[in-house]
Amino acid sequence: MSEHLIQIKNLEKHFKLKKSIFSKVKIVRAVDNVSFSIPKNTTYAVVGESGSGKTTLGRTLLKLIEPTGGEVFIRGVNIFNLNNKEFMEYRRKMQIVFQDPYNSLHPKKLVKTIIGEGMKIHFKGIREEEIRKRIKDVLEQVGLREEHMFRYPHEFSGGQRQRIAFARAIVLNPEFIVLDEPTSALDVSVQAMVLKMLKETKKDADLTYLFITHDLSIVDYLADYVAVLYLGQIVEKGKKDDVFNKTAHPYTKLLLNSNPIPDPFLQRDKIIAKGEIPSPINPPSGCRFHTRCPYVQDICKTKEPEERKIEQGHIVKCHFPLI
Amino acid sequence: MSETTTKPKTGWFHLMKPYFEDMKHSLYLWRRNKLAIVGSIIIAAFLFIAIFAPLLTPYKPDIQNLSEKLLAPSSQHPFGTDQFGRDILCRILYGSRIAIQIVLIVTIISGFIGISIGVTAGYFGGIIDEILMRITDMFLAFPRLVLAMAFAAMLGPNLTNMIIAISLVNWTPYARISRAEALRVKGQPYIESIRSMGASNFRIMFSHVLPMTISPVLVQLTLRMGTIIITAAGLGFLGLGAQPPSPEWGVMVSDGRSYLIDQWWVSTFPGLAIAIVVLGFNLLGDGIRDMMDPRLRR
Amino acid sequence: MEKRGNLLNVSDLHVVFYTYRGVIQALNGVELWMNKGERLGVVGETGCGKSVTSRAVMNLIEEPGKILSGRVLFEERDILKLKESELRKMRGNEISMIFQEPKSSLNPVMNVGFQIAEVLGKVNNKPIKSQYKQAAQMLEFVGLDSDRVLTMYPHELSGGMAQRVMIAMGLAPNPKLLIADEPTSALDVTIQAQILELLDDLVEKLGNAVMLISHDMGVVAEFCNKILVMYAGNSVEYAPTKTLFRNPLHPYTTGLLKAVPQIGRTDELKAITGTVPDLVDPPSGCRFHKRCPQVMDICKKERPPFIQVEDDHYVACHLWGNKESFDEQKGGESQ
Repeated sequence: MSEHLIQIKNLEKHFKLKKSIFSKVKIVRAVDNVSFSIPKNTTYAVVGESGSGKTTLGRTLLKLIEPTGGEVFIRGVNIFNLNNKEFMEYRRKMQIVFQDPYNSLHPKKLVKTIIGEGMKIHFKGIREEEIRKRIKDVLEQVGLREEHMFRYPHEFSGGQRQRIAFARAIVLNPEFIVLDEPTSALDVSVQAMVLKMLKETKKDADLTYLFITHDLSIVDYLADYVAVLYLGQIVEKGKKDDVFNKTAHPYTKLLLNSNPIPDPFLQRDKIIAKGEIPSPINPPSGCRFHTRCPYVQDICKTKEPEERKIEQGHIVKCHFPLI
Repeated sequence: MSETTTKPKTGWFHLMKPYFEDMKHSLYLWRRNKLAIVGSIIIAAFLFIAIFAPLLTPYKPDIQNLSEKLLAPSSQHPFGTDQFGRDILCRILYGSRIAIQIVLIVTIISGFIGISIGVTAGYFGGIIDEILMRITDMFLAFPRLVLAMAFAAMLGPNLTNMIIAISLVNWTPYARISRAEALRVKGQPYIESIRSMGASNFRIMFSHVLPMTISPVLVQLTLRMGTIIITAAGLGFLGLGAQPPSPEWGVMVSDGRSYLIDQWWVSTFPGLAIAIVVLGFNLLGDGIRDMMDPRLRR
Repeated sequence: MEKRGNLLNVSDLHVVFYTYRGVIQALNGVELWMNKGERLGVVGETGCGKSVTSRAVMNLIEEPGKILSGRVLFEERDILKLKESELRKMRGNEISMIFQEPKSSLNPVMNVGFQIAEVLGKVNNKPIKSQYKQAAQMLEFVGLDSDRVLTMYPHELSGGMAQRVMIAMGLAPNPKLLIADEPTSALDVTIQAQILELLDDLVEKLGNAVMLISHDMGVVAEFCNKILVMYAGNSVEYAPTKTLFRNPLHPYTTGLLKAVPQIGRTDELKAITGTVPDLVDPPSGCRFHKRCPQVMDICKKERPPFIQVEDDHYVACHLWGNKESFDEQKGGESQ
């Protein structure tokens, strides 16, 4: 569809694990047959816990990790089919912001170099004044000042570092930014500031976001669409309001319920799942959630569920959806 | 919302700032470590002597004066004279210049070789890593002094060749350390980030990974300086390095071999000089190692 | 000095840390108290001193940290004045602690059964070998299959299982006070819910007091009945949970609550301007004054005392100078 900026089809990333020369090769299906489409200028959230594959998904999308299968289309062009030279142009259009503010900026480089290096790589022959001007513009856009470009990362707080990381991401005028848990390591008040900055900049700079997180309150605040990942597969996806208010998958319901609410007056029934999150090395048979599902039935243990359409744009992968 | 045009701070001092930050904590610990201070004083004295040698002695190191040969230590010749009538204290002072030259040049050359090999091996991994590490292993398989002797003998005995020979055996620990750092660094988000910008491998290795390996390698460089001097003295003693009449300390010790019993001062004082300077480097090195120990980093 | 709680009373606690950058004024006169069986949530952001306070309660501040002044009364005893031998008897017995990273807090070379038996051996004053049966019971108590887990090593456990073991070790001595320092921050959200549910259940049965340290307002809202808010080394507000959320008095508390995203919340998030101060050179007077939207002149000069403004509600802020002015202001508003 033409209004979709990004289309992901059957994306797959399998890792081979070999413990020793004598053991058999095990395959970890970190990202297993994931498909969804991101409309332009929206925020698409991907939620999951450990082993869900959300981090791998973000990186595989940008080819920071080589995919083992599937296709990613940007405005109709399959970027996995491009050669290195053609792909460079798309590199510029897709950027990423990482979770760890203390390790995502090179400790021995000036902020100016950190932000400006991308420009030197993509715009050969660009003049120093142009670089400085552009850096000044993005720094101001994220709420920092021009003189900050002459400082080192260690002189900044966690929240400021994430703003610098975001400035680095937008300096090349990208269209699409993957935000990999950008606020998980930040204090609450700092997180609010960064989230607001992300929201405002999206409008101003005509961006599309893929927001990876485990925190559903942030999804509620920022996202237009959401996909819920469990052990490498999408179990539910759709418009945020639909997924939150007409929850179809038991795991989504569990996630929503487990989210601690900062409101002592709110009474709700607690759903506590039993058991641990299985390891992606040895996922359960049939429906991968069956070991913890409160509604599990026999067929769930043996047969992998198909995708069902609840309504337009709202898909769930379950034998007995809640809706 | 910037105020007036900002004057860019990108002078040399400002660019070195992150390395100075690394050192600030170390300096704090250094001040509390007595061994390190003693070692530093010795080394400082050593440097002072090397720089100001001609001002500290009225004599010249290579002027012979056979009428004054083999005199015992006196107020005129505090360390006595050798078989050619040369003042030994003077020769020791001038010899410190040779010692410093050796230490500096060997450190630079072997540091360069070690870091290049280590960073390349660590960053690329795979077959490149295997090959480079096996080469490193080959060099490590031989006792250092023996290998240095072999190189020196092969190249011919003179000071320059000795420096080359010692450099060729001294680089291995730097390769190990910079490889370990490169391995650690290459998985960090800031490297992933520059890779997502489309930077070339060369750019990443040279401009991003290499600067991170410098601090730990710097520590090793200091720790090894004592061993360089001992190796050089050993080669000089064996006649495989600097040649007479050079006032290199090892050569001086060798010179006095025949006079050990009656004119003990000819070998002893150069030997003491070697021992004290090496002690200084070792104390400094021990102090540095203590500072690096995370448990003691308070 | 009045004793506000019948179990624990921390008053005017000052702690510093000596580092190469200077002296970090970590705790600047912290006030904290607890009653038996109570659940106190200690919330605050980075650098507020909540973890340091919890270590001080067990007198576990080590070099380069130093407790400069203050009192920590556990029941009738001043912990800061006890001898090391008496402290050791108390720790892991009357007061115990569980930490954020369970796998790092467990000894990697001993199996789970041994570590629990060790705690029990100390508590019951019996040899460790005799305690395995009770250790197995503790494992069942925290919802683990004792046959399997008793002989497992920490690295074989998942995060949730490891934290259950930590809880078993923490509750085995049936302590009067359990200090839980961010016990679920490193866990996935569904596992976090399980662990909090478990803790809630067990503590309900055993009657221990719990000091829960967290940066997550949701967790303390659900688990605790009293909350202490800390900022930059000071106690800034204390109230029962519902009171704090319904009627926060300190501008920092209000700011914090407005910045927390919540599912179903319709109003826009509001961030607190500025950043947490550097405690080597903290601001004068009230440490929050540079970021406070209601700052007054006196805030820059004098540190506000931590005083009671209404029943069981304390605040350290010049806006609420004393009980009278509070009643005045409250009367003036339509509440």
